[in-house]
Amino acid sequence: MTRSTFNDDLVEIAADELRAGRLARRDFLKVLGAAGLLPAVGAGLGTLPFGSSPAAAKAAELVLCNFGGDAVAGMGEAWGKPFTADTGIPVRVDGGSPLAGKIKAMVESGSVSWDVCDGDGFLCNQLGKQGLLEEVDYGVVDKSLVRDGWAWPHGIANYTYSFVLAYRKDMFPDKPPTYADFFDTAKYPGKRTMWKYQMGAMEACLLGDGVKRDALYPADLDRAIAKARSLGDDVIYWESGASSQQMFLDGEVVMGNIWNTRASILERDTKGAVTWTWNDGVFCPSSFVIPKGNPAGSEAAQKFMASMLDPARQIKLLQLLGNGPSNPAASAMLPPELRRIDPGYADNVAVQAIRSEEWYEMNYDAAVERWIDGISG
Amino acid sequence: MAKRPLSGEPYVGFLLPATLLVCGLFLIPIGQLVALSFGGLEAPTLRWYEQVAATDSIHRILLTTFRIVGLTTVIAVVLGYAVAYAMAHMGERQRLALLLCVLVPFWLSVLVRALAWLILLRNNGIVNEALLGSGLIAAPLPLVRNELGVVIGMVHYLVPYAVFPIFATMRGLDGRLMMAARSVGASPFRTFTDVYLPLTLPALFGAGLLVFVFGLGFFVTPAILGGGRVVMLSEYVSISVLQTLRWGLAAALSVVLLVATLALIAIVSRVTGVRRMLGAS
Repeated sequence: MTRSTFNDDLVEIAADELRAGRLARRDFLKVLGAAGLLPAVGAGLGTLPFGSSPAAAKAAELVLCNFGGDAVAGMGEAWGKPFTADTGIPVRVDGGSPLAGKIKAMVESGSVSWDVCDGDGFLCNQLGKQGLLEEVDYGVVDKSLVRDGWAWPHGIANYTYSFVLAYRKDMFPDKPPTYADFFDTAKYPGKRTMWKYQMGAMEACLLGDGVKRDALYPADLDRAIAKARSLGDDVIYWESGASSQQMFLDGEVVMGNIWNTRASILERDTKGAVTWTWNDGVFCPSSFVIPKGNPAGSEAAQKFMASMLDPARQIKLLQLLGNGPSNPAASAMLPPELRRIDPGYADNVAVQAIRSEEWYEMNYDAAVERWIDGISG
Repeated sequence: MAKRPLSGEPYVGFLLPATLLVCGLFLIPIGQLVALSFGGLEAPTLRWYEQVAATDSIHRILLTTFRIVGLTTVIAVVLGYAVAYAMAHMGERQRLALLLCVLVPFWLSVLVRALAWLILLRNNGIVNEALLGSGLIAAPLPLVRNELGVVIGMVHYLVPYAVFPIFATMRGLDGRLMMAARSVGASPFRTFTDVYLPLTLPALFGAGLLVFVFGLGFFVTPAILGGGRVVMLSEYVSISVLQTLRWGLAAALSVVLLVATLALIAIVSRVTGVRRMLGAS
């Protein structure tokens, strides 16, 4: 079983939503229909051309690489289509999972096939400092559209997500639990769940151990591991977003530190029996980067990065995939029913910790190994 | 079987495609893996092996892996021996029924089986609910999402691998040997321990080896049934490849595992004789 990232997870959610008929299907069907090759190519490689005519397909195209599946259609719909309408440049979304290692291998071998890649915010500096990425041209991309600190020299925040505390409503009918309650298994019996791969879980442990949410970083990993171990057998670590959701549905766990996208689906599917609080959530940026020597050239990629920050396009992605706008202006424009699910909505941000991209840039690789070692055995 | 010189064999040509396939798709990649573990061919280094030797957490994971796989092997082989014995000595129809019972789960994917065990054994699973409902226990038993769960899932997966080699040997035994033992006054138990068991022992070792080697590579079962806290070697390798991009370390660990496995095969075959182990007598 391979580890899935948050980006992978969006794809899975979209697929489920589409199957359940809850997504705006008209747009999806149009997209699927336009690409008769979807079953053959789309399913395997997750590629989908957005050129409207064969002639356009032959023209220069922009390849956007994300984590595959239906996020291919989702991002193509929310961000690719309007970009093509503006510029005439077709956008092809490739679900090739642009992990750091793949970008590195591609750039170093000189055969770059992606123009814009999706990934966690801290990767911008991690890869950028190794000389693997094009710089963002902030003459083209308006950095004032995203939160302070989320426009890096080699990438910019494209959407947001959070690790939130989800819980069973019958256990906390009056007010949501805190992370102190999360670790109090005597008072609130039942199993808990956290991500196996350190992120979110480490912060939950520190918050539960009395660290204030604005003092999480630099993080004391050993303290977090000790706290995690104090749960003994009362913790099950989730591997994929789907499994975190399933544990709640099966009644295996009573509380969990999970992705906000999964929490909002759980609330809807259980009619509120499982819900979540934004309090002490960990708010995280995802980002777009441009691999050095990208085929469509820097200019087209820069224009694309600029275009997806448009509030309407950001809101469209929230509707399709459930992840939040990185442009606070988009969050401010949301209709009331979408405010509750947007991790970046002002009221929600106010009560959350913000993940330190600097800390993760420097420490993530070592931290995830020590974490895995610490929680096992 | 008498040895014949290969040059006289008209069938050598038949081996050629398979040999090429094995060389091309197996030996060359393995060679690349070994090269990677030494940091490439240009500037060979032992740093990854030093890291394997010096890191406590890797030792712990190796130990966990060998402990779980060892326990699994013993249980699977004992259960497999009993099943094979029953299969070898029952009537034709019962044998067919039992064979199906062994084969059907054998055909199911490892993922499905792990999830099925989860449904049965978790705290609010069928087994615990039944025990709680009957009043036999007051609190759910921790049957899964821990090391016990991993062993249960792995034993279940690996029992068929133990059954078939042992069964093949048992079917091939000359029944007159046991009759001879009985005729000179040996009790059924004595006949078993002095005649039957020694004759089937090489198959037992062979089955154990097969199960052990398979078990070392387990990945899905520990990940699901271990609740995230049972990390075995293959998972650690996967993290090093996909996550922390330390391919050299992953390669060194793989080579260590490969060498350990080959050494184990060599030792067991020295003890039991590889030809007998593989069923040739």
